[in-house]
Amino acid sequence: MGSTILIDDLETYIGQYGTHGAIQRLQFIASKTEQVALKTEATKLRLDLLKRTTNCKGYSSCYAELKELLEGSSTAVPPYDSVWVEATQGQASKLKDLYEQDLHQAKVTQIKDSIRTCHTQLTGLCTEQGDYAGALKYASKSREFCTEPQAVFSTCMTIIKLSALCRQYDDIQSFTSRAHHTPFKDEASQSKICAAYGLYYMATGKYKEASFSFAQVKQQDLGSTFSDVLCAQDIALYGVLCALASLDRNEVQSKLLDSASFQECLDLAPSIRDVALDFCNCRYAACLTSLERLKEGLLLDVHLHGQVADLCLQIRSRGIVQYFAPFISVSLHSMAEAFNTDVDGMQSEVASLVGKRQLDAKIDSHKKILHVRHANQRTATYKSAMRVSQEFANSTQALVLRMNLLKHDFGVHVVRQKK
Amino acid sequence: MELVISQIHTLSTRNDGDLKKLKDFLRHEAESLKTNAHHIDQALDTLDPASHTLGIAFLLAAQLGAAVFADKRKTLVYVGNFLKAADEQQLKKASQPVSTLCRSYAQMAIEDGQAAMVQAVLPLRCAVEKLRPSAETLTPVHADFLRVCLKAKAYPFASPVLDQPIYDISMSNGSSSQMTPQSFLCYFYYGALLRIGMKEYQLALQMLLVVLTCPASCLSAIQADAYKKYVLVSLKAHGESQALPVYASHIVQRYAAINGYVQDLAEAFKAGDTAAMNRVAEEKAAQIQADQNTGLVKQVVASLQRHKVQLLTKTYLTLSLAEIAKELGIEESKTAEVEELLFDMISNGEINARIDQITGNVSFEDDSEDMDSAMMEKMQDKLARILELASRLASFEHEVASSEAYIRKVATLEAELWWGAFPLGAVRGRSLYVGSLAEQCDRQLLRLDARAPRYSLDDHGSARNFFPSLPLLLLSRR
Repeated sequence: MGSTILIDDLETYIGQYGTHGAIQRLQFIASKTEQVALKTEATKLRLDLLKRTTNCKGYSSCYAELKELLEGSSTAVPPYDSVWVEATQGQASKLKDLYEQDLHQAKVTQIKDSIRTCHTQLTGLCTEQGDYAGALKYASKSREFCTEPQAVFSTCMTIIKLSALCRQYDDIQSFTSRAHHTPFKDEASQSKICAAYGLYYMATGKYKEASFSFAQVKQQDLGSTFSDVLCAQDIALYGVLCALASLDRNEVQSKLLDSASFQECLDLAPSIRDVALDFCNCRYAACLTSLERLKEGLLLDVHLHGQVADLCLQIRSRGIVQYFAPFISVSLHSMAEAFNTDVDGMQSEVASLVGKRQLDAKIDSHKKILHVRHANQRTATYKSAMRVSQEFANSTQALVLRMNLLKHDFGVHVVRQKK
Repeated sequence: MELVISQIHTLSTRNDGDLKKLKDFLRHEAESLKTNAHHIDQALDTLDPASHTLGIAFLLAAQLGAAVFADKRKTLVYVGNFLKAADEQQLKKASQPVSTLCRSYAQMAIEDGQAAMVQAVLPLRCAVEKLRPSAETLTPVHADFLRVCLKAKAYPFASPVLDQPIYDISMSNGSSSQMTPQSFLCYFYYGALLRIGMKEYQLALQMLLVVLTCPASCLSAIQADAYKKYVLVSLKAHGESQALPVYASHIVQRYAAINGYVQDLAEAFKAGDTAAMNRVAEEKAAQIQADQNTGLVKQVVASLQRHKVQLLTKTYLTLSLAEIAKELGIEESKTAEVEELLFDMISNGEINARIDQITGNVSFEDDSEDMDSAMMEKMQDKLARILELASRLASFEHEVASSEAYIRKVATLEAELWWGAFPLGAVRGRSLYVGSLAEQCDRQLLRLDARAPRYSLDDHGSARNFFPSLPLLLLSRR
C-alpha cells in the first residue's frame, strides 16, 4: 500500500475503507504530510466523505481547512453546502430526542433487549456525527444489557471499531479478549478477533505476537463491518513488517509466506510481498531499499505511524544478525555492500549491535573485518561463579545484620514524646 | 569526693559482686561527681588505670560531660593512656560511661586539630576492641573511632575494624539501649567514606547498602546522603546506578525516586553524554558542594571515558586512536590525550590492550587471567566464607523454629485449620475436649517431645475415636 499513497491513487487507497475509517485516515494523512498537493487532495476527499455522514461539525472544520489550503491558488473552492448543514443538524437533534425518549421508555419497561437496542441506536447516531467518544460511552453501556452471546460479540466489535477510530489501543485489547471468550462464534468472527489482537500488539510494540495474530486472519472473512478498522492490504502490510522485525527467516517463510490464507492478503499488496520474499531469500539490499522507499508512505498510516522507525530499525538489525550468523569472520566491505551502505556506517551499526549484545562478535577496525567472538568458557564460568558467590555472601551478611536489627526492633523511627 | 575515691579503692577487685556494687554506687553519685568536676584531676592521680578502670571511666565521663578542665591537652593524653591501659573486663561493665567518654574524647580531639586526632586513633581502637562483647558486634564507640580516622585522614588505621563483618549490635543493659540508630548509621556511613578514601569502591557500596536497608519508618539525613553517595559510587565503579534491594525500606525507595542531581548525572552517564554530565555538575555545583560530593562527582565524570573505553574493548579487536577519540567525544586531532588515557588504563590493569604508535592503532586483547592454583585458593576462600554464613543461617533457623512464640503460632494455626473442618456441634462433648486439647498442646510444645502427646491423647479414648487423624495431624506438621 505504502507506495500507492500518491495523489492519483489516494482515491483507490481510501476506497478500501468504510466511511469512518477513510475519514480518519484522510485526516491523518492531511495532518502529517508535507506535500501540499497531497494534503489538499486528502482534505477534498474528506469533505466529500463527511457529507455522507451527519457530521456537520467535521464538515465545517474540514471546509475551513480546505479553504485555507486553497487560498492563493488557482483552484476554486467548492461551495459550502449550508442547506445540507442546517437540515442535517435539525434532523440529528430530532433523532437524538426521539432515541432518548425510546431509551427512557425502554428503561421503564425494564426489557433488557429493548434497552440494548436503544443504546445501539444512540451509538449509531453518535458515530454518524463523528462523536466517537460519546458513541463509545453508549456502546459500553449497551454491553451491560446484552442477553445473547451474539449481541455481546457485536457490541464488542462496535467498541473495537470505535476504539480504533479514537486510537485507544488498550481498550481494543480488553474488548477483543471479551469477544474472544463469547461462545458460538463463526470463523469469520475469529478472523476479526485476530486482526484486532494484531492491531493491539503492533501498537504496543509486541511485534512477534502481532505477526502471529495477523497471520491467522483470512482475507475474505474480514468483510465490510471491519473495513472501518483494517482492510486486507493492511493485514498483509502490518503482518509482514511485524514478522520481519521479530521472526527469523524460516519462521517468516513458514508462518506467513507458506500460509494459504495469508497468501491471499499478500497478493493484494505485491510491494510488501516482494519485501518479504527478498528478506527470506537473503537479498537484504533489495529488501531494505524497497523498505526505505515504502517508508514515506508507511509514516502516513494512522496505526503504523508510531512504530515505523522502530520496525525498520529492528528489521535492519535482524537482517544484519542473520547475515552474519553463518560466518566466522566477514569483511565489512562485503557486508556494507549487502546492506546498501558504506563501510563506516556499517561499522557503527555493527558496533551498536555488539554493544546491545545482539551480535556476539568483535570488530577489527584496522582490517575492517568482523570476527565471531571466541568466548573462553572456562574463564567466563570462573568469573561468573566468583561474582555470584560474592553477591550471595554480601547480601546474606547484610540480611543477617538486618535480621538482628529487626530482632532488637531497631531502626530509624520517629521519636515519640512521652506524655 | 574522698568517699568516692575510697569506695573505688576498696571495691575495685576481681569480684563481680564488688564491681556491681561500685557501679551502682557511682551511677548514683553521677550528679554529685559532675558538680565536683574540678576535683577529679586530683582524684585521678591516686588511681591506677588498669586496676581501677571502672571508677576512672565514671570519673572521666563526669569530667568530660561537665567540660571543666585544668589543662585540656593533659586530659586528652590521660584519656588516651587510660583507654590503652584499661582492664577489658571492667571496661565492658562500664560500657555506658565509656561510650559517653569516647564520644566527648573524639569530639575534643577533632576540635583540637590534626595532632590530637592522630593521637586519638589508637586509644579509640583499643576502646573498640575492649568494649565490644564479640568481634562481630557493633558498639557506639565504633562510629566515634571511624569519625576520628576519617577526620585525621588515617584511613589504613580503620581497616582492621572495617574488615571485621558486623552481624549484631550491642543492645545490652536492658533498659538503656546504648546503640542509637544515629550511631549505627554513622558507623556504616563513615565506613563507606573511608572505603571510598581507600578506593575500595565495592566495599564502600556494601556499607552504604547497610545504611540504606536499615529498617526505617522515617528518612534519616544520613540515609539521604548515603543514597547520593551510593548512586555516585556505583556509577563510578560499575558504570550504572544499581537498583536498591527489595528489602530496603519503602521510605528510602521513595526518596530514591525523587529527582535530584544524582539522578540527572546517572541518566547522563547512561546516555554516555559527557557534555550533559558537565552541565549538571556545573548547574548543581552549589548543591553538590553542600553535600561535599564535589570530588566524587568529578571522579564520576572522569570515569565515564574509562567506561566507554572498556565497552570498546568488548566490541573491537583493533581501533585507531582517532576513532577512539571520536567514540569518546574528544576532538579527533587530540590523539595524544587518548593515548595518555589508554596508557594509564593499561598500566592500571583496567584494560588489556597494546598501542601501536607508528600506525596509530590500538589492539584490544582478551583478558588473560592466570587460571592456576591462585584461582583455586580464591574459590576455597569463598566457599569457606559461604559455608560459615550458611551455618549462621542454620543456627538462626533453629533458634526461630524452636522459639516458643513460633511454635505457639504454628500450633494455633493448625488447630484452627483442623477445627474448621468440623461443623459446630457435630461432635458430642466437644467443648470438654477443647479445653484438654489446649492444655495438651501447651504441654507438648514446651516439652518438644513427639511421643508424649500421642500417649496422652490415647487417654481420651472417645476423642480418638472421633478424630483418629488428630494426633497425626498435630505431629506430622511439626
